[in-house]
Amino acid sequence: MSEYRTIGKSKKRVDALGRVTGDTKYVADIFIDNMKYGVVLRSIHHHAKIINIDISEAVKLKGVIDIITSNDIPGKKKYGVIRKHK
Amino acid sequence: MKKIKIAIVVNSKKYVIETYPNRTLLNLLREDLDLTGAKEGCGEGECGACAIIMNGKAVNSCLILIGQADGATVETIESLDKNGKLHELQEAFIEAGAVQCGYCTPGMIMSAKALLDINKKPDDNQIRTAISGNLCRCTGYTKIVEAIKIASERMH
Repeated sequence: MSEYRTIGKSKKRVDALGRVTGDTKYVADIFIDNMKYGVVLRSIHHHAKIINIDISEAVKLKGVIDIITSNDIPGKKKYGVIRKHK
Repeated sequence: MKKIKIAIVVNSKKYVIETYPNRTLLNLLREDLDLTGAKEGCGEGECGACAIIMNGKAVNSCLILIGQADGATVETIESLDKNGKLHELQEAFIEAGAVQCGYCTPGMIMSAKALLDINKKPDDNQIRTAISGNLCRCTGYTKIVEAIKIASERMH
């Protein structure tokens, strides 16, 4: 029987080398001049319904470039399986 | 905030750095020295992705304030391969399939190296203890332990 090249054999991962040397660049490893940083702010209440987000005071803070909420996304925003909680 | 001056040896290179005392050794490695092999996973000493060797011991570099590293000798993952030749641990991690996403790998290898530096033939328990501060969410730990065993056998 002829030997398979891959089936039944252990293969080295093609991307493993950079990962054991630390050379692989993950997104967090990329530094660009004048880079801006973003953070996600999550609700502090479980299962809460977001009725309104008031960003007026927050945008005034020093260094804040912009605050993006769902209001900035046009069109349909409900994707995926959304189940109603009982 | 007033800057402080520290002297540090990283991967056999001497640096004298003036920086703010609220920064961590991990910040210094990644942002100032461009050594991004050590990762910031949690930033609070839970995950071990930032593990490096400082004065012979594996430490979470995210928990080392820069002032604490004054006078220290530090080894990072970038110091392991020499002239294109991989360290036994790096070879073994690839061979044993101990690498998947790779985010824990540098920390995992540095913790393993700190162990093998002081214990040439560790048993399973000693290996598991040595990497108990390193979390891996992909491969499971069996292949990682196996890789460290392979490396220890080849090294000694």
